[in-house]
Amino acid sequence: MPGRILSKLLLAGSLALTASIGCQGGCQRGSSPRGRPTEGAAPARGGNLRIATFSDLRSLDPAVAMDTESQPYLNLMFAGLVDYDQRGNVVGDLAERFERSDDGLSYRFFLRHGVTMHDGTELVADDVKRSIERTLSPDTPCPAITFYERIAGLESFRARKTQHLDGVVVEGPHLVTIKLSSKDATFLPALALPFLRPVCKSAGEKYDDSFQNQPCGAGPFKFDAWQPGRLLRVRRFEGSYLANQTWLDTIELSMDVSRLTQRFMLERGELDAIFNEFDRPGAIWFRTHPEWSKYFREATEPGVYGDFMNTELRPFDDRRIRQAVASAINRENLQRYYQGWTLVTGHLIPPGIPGHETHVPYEQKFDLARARALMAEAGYAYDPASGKGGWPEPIVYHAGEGEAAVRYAQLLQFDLAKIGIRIEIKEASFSQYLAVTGRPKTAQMGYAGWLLDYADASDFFEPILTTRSIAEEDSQNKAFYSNPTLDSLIDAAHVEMDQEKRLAMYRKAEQIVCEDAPWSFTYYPLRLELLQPWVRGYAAHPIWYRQFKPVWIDQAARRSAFALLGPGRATSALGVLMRDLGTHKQEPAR
Amino acid sequence: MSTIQFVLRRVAWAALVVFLVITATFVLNRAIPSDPARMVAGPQARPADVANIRRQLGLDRSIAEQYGIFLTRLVHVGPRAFDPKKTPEHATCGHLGAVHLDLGRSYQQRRPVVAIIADRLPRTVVLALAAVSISVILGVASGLVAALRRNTWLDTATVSLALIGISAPTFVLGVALQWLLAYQLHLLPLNGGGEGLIDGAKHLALPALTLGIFGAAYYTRLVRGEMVEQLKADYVRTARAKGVGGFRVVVVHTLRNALVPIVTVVGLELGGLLGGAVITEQLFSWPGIGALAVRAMRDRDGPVIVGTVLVGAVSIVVASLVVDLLYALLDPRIRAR
Repeated sequence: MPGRILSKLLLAGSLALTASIGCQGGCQRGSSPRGRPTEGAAPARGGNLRIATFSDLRSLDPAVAMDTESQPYLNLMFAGLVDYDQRGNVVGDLAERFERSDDGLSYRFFLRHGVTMHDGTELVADDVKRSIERTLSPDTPCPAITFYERIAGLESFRARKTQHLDGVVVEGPHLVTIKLSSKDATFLPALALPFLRPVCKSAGEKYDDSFQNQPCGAGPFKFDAWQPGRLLRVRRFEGSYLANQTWLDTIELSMDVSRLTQRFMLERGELDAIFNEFDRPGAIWFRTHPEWSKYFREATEPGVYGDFMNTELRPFDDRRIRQAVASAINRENLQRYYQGWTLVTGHLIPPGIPGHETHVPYEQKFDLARARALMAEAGYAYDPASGKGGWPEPIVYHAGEGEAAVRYAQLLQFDLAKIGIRIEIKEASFSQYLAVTGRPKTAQMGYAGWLLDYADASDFFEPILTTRSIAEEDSQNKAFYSNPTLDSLIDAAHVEMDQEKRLAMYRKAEQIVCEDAPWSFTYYPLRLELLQPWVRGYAAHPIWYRQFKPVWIDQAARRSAFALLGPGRATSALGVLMRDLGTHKQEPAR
Repeated sequence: MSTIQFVLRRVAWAALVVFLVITATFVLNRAIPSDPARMVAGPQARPADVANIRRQLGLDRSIAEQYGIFLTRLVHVGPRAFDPKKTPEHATCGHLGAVHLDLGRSYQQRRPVVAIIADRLPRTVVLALAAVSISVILGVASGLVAALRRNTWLDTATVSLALIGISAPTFVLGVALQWLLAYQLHLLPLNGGGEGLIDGAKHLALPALTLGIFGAAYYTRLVRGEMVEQLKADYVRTARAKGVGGFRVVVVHTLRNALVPIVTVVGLELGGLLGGAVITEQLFSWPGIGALAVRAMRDRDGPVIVGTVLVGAVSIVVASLVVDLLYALLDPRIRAR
């Protein structure tokens, strides 16, 4: 008897599984988007935006958080004196206007009147000064002190010689001046980052770990709940001066959600968007799907990737070998491999950053004949027919972590073999990669990447390619590249306040590094984003990783999508069958 | 050896094992060529900023000095009640009366490790108990059926399914269950978490089933083997000759004896799961110790790594201690040894 029952159960289970697999392979192949945007709908208040990430947030305190995951939520909860507009320009935010002195050494910020913070108090200049001092205090583990090192008096303040930061002066309840010790054209772009944004008085004078449990600022959304590793929820702040320009009631971020689960949740309507967290098959599927592709977006991310070549170690102490490598890389192969995940390039300054141009005459280009000629000139001629010649020893290539990093290195291995350079790929965890590649005379070559800190071309030179950026430990200049001409040019550009002159200097600097080739530049990353039809008002921001302030929910579209079958209703097999039949009708045969 | 001596000896060994494991973890964690301060600051931070953070985290001290501080802080006596803001030296402590446990502060989350583990451990315990329950119920039932229908197609099918179950990695089984039960049939939520009893149970189902089915496959083979042996034993023949009913023979006499070896496996499996079901927790976003451990390893968050290893080591050691004691209770011959 038990055997008979069990056999029936086994049979039923097998049939169900077979039917489901059969449907997956033949009749359903995933879903189509539910509903469609309502024609002529205008932004309206209400709704909860549900998003997910496979990461966790490091912190919700603007003084210490530097991870890309935290940034969008810091932007929602904390408003700054200045911010980036939708074109990446620095504009006033809590400061209704600001002015720079003629000598470029001080900035006056005129605060908006009547700005309420989340604790109900009015924002005044004292809050600005207190918050800046809190972040730049020697007791705060802020990872970006160097961005603000030209604020007058910072050194004394951090050495505890002064109790307050002399360079930040309160001139009235709504007027604050920040004085610099020397001219700094990057000051405003760095000020637009979240680090120095005003925090409520509850944050205290000094940094305290517990503040992140009740973050409080002057942003258009206020903190509602945070369960580390699980959920963050922020709620529209009705007292905000931006309240009439924000629409969402709440934004809810689920954390530690795998890419596959995000895809399932989106298709079931349980997520409103996926931001960049696609597995490769998922991205290709959505991008080529006749319906989903309408809601799929791509935007360049302000960053650059390539390969560093350690100029202190052989053979890359020879400029010709570096140039040969830069010329041997077939970037079109990379483009084909990445299938639209990247935008291949041969130069440094990425899109979105002032100074970027799509093509420049000096960019690194694939030219195999030139690459072989350069190898021969350096004394390492390579004969592809016999396979003889080239650099005699294998070069260890530090690929970083993961399958994608290894695949990238394999493409490089294939290209460099054609000029007689054999590379051995070494995969390591990200932390080990950082440690090894940051030590002098240790790593010959490896994967290199840089994402912007703030929107200024200097950020793509100073931290990674100047002599000053070489360090005994943790060197960001992984090529250990030192060029006095470049250093002088970058230093001059840093204090040049005329934007046109600055950009000309950075183009010249870009030409130097393209020709000297401490890096072979290969691609700019792309952000891939998929939004449900009812998510409106979202536009990729040139600087911010994600920007949710203008987003609104097309309630009619969302309601119509779930009118018959919703995540809460389609729980029966019949419901699923109806949904799938509906899906099947909408989806053209492929 | 008296029972008390036996227990004391086992407890002393357990404490030594835990001590050695966390010492090895502490030392290895600092010996790996990577820089936790860099991971905290982020790959973009400038060297001067990283050095500043390294100093603030105490990572500029020697390993011996760091280890000394860790050991003296790990278990210590402190006030029975305290305000973390007013007594910063106890801000990272968990305490039971005057006995304080201090695992330091997470580099990444900047919260006391004791508090982070206290958030996660209950979910891991619930998942482990649910998974083991499913394993035992399914495994014992199917092992019993296979043994009673030995050498029939049902036996073959059950044993084959068990073999597949053991061979299939949990992530394959997990994704298959997620796809079928959650994505296709909408019977269960896609990922972990959930609030309240009913919602929590719904979210628990998929990860518990994944681990439970995987474990059940092993129990099936174990119970079948034991039952087949026991059913041949003299006492079974005697019981049957005395006219004891078939059900009673199977359940009361045979199964009871067959389950004795299962106790060891259940205990160790439970201990292992309490240390965190790494893959399953990751797959279903179950906020337990396993997912925490993986993230800590990735971020080189030393205090959390040591904390999660401590939980894992204590779980295994306590589980094997309990198994030993249970065994000793069930089989007095072990005590004598």
